[in-house]
Amino acid sequence: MRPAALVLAAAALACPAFVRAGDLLDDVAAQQADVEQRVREILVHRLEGDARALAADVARLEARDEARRDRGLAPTGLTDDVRYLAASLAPTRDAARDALHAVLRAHPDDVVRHLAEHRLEADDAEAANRILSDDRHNRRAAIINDAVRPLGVFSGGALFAAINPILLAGSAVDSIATTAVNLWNYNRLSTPEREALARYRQTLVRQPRTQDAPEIARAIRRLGAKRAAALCAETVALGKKALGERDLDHAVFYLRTADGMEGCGAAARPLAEAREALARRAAREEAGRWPVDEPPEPETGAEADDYHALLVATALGEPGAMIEAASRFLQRHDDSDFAPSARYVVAVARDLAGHHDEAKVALEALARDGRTTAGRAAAGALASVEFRRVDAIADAERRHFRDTLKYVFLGGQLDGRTALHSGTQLAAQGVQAAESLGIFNVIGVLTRAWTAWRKDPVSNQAIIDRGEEFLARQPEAPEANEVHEKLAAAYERAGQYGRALMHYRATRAPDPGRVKRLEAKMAADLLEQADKGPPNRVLLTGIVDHFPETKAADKARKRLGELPPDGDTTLDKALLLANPTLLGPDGLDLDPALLDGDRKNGELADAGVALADGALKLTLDDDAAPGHRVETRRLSSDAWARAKAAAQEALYESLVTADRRDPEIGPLEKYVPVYVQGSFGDGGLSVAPAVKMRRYRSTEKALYE
Amino acid sequence: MATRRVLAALVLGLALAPSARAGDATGAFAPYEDILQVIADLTWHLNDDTYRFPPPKDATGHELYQLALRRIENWEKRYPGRLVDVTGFTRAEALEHLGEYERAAEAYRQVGAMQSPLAEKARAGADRSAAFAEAAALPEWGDDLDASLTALRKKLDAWGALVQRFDGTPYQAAAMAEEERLESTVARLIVENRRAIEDGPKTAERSLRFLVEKHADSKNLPEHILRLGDLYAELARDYVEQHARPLAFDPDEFDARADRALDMYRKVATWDGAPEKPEAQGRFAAFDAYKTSVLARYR
Repeated sequence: MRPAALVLAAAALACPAFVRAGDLLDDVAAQQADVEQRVREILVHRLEGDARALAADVARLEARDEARRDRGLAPTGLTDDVRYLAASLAPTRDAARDALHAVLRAHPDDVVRHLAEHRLEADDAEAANRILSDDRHNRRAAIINDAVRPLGVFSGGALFAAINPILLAGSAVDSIATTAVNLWNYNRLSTPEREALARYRQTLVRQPRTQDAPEIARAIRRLGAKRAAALCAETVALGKKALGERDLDHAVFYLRTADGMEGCGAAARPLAEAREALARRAAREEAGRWPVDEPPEPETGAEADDYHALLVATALGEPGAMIEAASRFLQRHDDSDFAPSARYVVAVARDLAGHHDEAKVALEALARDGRTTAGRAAAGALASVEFRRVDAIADAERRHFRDTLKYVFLGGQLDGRTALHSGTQLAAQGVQAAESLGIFNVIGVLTRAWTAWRKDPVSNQAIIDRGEEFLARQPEAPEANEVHEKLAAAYERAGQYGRALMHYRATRAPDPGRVKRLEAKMAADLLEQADKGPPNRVLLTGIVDHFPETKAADKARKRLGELPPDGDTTLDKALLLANPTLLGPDGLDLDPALLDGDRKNGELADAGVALADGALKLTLDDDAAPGHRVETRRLSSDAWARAKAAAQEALYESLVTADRRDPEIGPLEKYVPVYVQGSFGDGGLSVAPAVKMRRYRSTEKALYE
Repeated sequence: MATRRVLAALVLGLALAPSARAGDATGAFAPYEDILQVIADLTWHLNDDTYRFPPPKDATGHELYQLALRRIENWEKRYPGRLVDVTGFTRAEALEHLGEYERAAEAYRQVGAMQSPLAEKARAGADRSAAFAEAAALPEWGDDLDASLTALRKKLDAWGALVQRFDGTPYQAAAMAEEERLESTVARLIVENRRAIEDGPKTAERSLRFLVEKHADSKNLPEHILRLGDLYAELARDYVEQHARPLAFDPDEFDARADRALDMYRKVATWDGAPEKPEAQGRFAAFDAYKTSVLARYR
């Protein structure tokens, strides 16, 4: 325990005004000097690191408490603190844990109990044991829950089960398949296991001689082997995925890394495959930089001369001369092997001369003949952003629309499991069972349609990328207005209202109503951001200033009004009520009338007080004026130091004793191991019993994922 | 029932229809039949503004100037003596666009000495490339920081003169790109030596901000912003190193420094269409993790 707290506890004991009855005052006063001496001795023992003397102090305080109880007096209140203090001097992990358990067995006060519990929870091996136990429980619960859940889905198709029980076969098979998949994955390394492994290792590094060392070492070996296998499998999977996508550079990196891992034999074959593909690619690349083995040659004479003239004109890059030379060549040698190239030159020249549409027509005509290299080059040119212009954006929009339809009608989870489920149902019911694939699952379709309406489930990035690229290259193009419109819509669907607003304002005639709607959405989005984490005064003020007419601005104004005054230490009213000693001259030196509930004589608002820049800022409610007003009191340097210390002590204590129970878990819930889960989502309505899971809560979860 | 089946078929059709893949129409990267196509592709992009936009790519995703150069060189190797004026001239054009001015000047000179309709243009190209090569040949480094900065100043002046000389022509973009590269080198030099320079961090910041402001139209603008973010990130790390003891560390001060870096990274991380976007997202995530970790350490 902190010496300051100990001294405070002693002072509290010595203070006659606290809880003592009048006939005890003499007794307390007589013992005050003795208690102070005892506290001093205890602190000296702690500073000397004398564990044995501290143990004796604990025994003496226990005897004193016993004696006081026999005399009908309250115990000293010091014993818990000294017991906790003694635990901190335990030489080993095991002795410290035993001492902390002893502290808890003695039912200490709230602060000491929380501190002792925290010490025990912070023990790495203890935490690892708890994490592993919860993880085991959750794996078993997941198998049971997933096996039961398919039987509780009420889709349109499942309703037919009442008429035709054969339909249940689909759900039963889904249940069996899900269970099989879960059992297959049962032993897969989980995030909690990774954390447990790291914590076990940390324990052995810190306390290699702990009595739990053999057990911890066994757990480390088991989890370590599992982790190595998982790392190998994950790296090989990444390599294979990259290989499947023909991303050979990444594939070789992952597979080479996996191949270097001990016992990771699975990487060798795909690595050889990737290297072979890499070599093939290099050969193909090199070949593409050379002419074909027997390229056509112009016949000597007129064809060779005209071909040379065409080459010269093309090299010089004058569009007029290029068209003239190409036309002359085509006129004289229309059946030449070089005619397609000459037509390609015509297209290039037209584009260079600024006749973009004519160039496109020429390329389209040439691209129809895919057998010639010029035809393929023309097709390639037509596929580029320069030629596709708005078409490319429109294509991306069409793909987006199609993907959205897919999501609405078929859901977003057409994976192996649902395919197996659907396949089984198809087999059982023939074509009519197609209804149960989701087509007739009206609830699911409607839910997904609503979801898609509220928040776009499909990425808009392709539309955005193409549109932005178009505008970057041709901001003054005639189609720019249309592209701004499309981008505004895409950004709005993607929830990027700032960009949507920017593009919409850049259109020729923006509709003020739509601008307002976008502003409202942007303000609401900013408000949502401001609500995450600690109050963000800057963001809230920004919403009020920039979007004053929106609903979000109204809410932001309200939030700003509720914020405590700026200060580096803030104490709300509830905290002050829970710690009345803070009001005294040793603390904030506040008039108790400010907390008596009577607004007539001034009442502290819920925001409380803040200490900042050598002053105390009070947020007050009174009858004099509506709303809150802030009163600032300058403090002397001594008063400031006292107030600050008392405030920080109270804040720390409230943090230590805060209830850490999951707010979603009721007080009796731990006695009921099952619950009924219901969901209304993509798959329709689902109601099924389930085993409760234990929430994995790690302060450093990201370190183990 | 029939309607339902039609609907089912429609939806299944939608689900199973493959998405169009980019490049399907263009075929694989393959040997070419006609040098005219290679030259036409190069000609198409000779006037591209390579200061504002990235170098052009062909339909198979290859950088066009490099590809054209390799193909022309390979043609010359396979068919030495054929169409030498054309291949020499276009090789010079490709080299010029790749910043190899000395080699380009030489190739232009060779064509200029031939009996060819390209000779006159080649001689002009030789003069131009020689001017670029002269500026490019100036040294960029000295024995110490001052000498390096002086050398860079001289070289920048030379390129600045070329920017003026070729104002309004397609060749100005190359000079501007070179000027930008040199100014970027100056900024990097100042950032790297900021501890040795008086008021180094501020000078480094000014030099990077200058780059961002002057080259606001450049294709490299996101990269310049990232580098400014890197400087802010470095300054935040310096602060942590210099205030390692807990009582010397001020979380608010660190927070302000770290947020400057994060603001810069975020600008690029949300820049749609910028090639640097994924890199910026990675840097934002990495530095944000560092900030969180430092604040947790000193909490």
